Amino acid sequence: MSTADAETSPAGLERTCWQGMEIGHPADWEPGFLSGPDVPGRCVFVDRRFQRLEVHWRDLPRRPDLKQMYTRLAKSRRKKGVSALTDVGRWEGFVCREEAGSVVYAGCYFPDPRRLVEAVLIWPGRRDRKVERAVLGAIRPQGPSKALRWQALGLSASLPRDFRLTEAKSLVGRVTWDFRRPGRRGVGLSMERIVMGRAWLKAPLSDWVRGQLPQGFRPVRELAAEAGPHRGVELRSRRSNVLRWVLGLAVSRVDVAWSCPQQDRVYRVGLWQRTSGDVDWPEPLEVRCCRTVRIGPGVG
Amino acid sequence: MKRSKRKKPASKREMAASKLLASVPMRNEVAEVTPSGEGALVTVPVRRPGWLIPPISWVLPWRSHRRIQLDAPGAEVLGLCDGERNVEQVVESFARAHKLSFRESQLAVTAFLRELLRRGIIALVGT
Repeated sequence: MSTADAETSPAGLERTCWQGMEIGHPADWEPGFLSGPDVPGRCVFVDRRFQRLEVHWRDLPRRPDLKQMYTRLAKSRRKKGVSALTDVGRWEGFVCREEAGSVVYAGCYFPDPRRLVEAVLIWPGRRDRKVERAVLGAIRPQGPSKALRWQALGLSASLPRDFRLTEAKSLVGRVTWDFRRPGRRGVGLSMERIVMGRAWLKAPLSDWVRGQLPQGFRPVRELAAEAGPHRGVELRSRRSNVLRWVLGLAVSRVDVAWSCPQQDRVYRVGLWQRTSGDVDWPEPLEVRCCRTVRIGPGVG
Repeated sequence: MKRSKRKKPASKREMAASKLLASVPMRNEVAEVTPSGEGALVTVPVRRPGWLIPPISWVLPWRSHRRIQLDAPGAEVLGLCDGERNVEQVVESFARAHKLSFRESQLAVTAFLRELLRRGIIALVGT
């Protein structure tokens, strides 16, 4: 979200990566809604006054007839000022001229992950075709790499593909994402980014990390950690008692936190697993502050 | 009679947001702002309620001034309310100073301005 740390797409647009999709958009169009684990996925971008872009997607085993789909949709609109969308590469769609501006409906099928992506662009006032082309050209599914990139609301991370988003919270200045890896011993991962670190972080970072531990977790070991050029703290904790240990319900956790003075932000990454031993960081796991920090043993 | 709880149409909501962004926060002239620690202490005179006359006033405590302690970001936002900048400009300045996005800054600043408004420290002109 912040232009300071987000990677931009080739057309100079800001890039939001969410649920396996990569969406390029002008920097002043900020995420207003990002879908949770629901299907189909949906992202809405707003500027200071209006909704500007809505992208939704779903996996489809077969390529739909987009031309027919959009011709039907255009007819159902029954508007006088409907015209076909041209010069936008493989996107199909139409433009609806309204009193106060134009609305562009476009769709594209990506055969590699077999995904149908639909976009609605709203142009209050003048329609900027150059930006429109750049935005549509920068909406695509992410490539088939080992890691999936998540980038939105000023937090940017790469993590293994099998982690599923379970919850995303965006409070004022505080963005938290929770992921789970499906499986019997379900591994959980949480990431957090807090702005204005200097203003509110009065106590040492390690005290703050201890205070963030969920109920029932006892700190076991604390180490100094290097997060790229920043000094951080690694805290291992455990939620266990004799009964939990016997039933195999003990949970171990490791948290890494660091403060990035360049951005004036505090980052925290936590990992937990149902085990009585230590938990190991999954590979690859990266979080981007002023530079990319690889999270691993002893942190990057 | 039952009143329907219908949401305002989107266009009206957008209009309200635009109006809020265009309005100018003016500081209460009689409010005193003194630096205190990292933030500021704001003292606002309170009008004595008409019903607070003896013998009620002998029993009920009443203070002629209300004091509000602001933290550093709060004092900064209040400092930006100079009667010339509108809410949008205040949000922009705060976002720039703290490397926030506009929307993130907007959420924090507008919530804080509402609180200042409720406590009589500022008034919004042009809403």
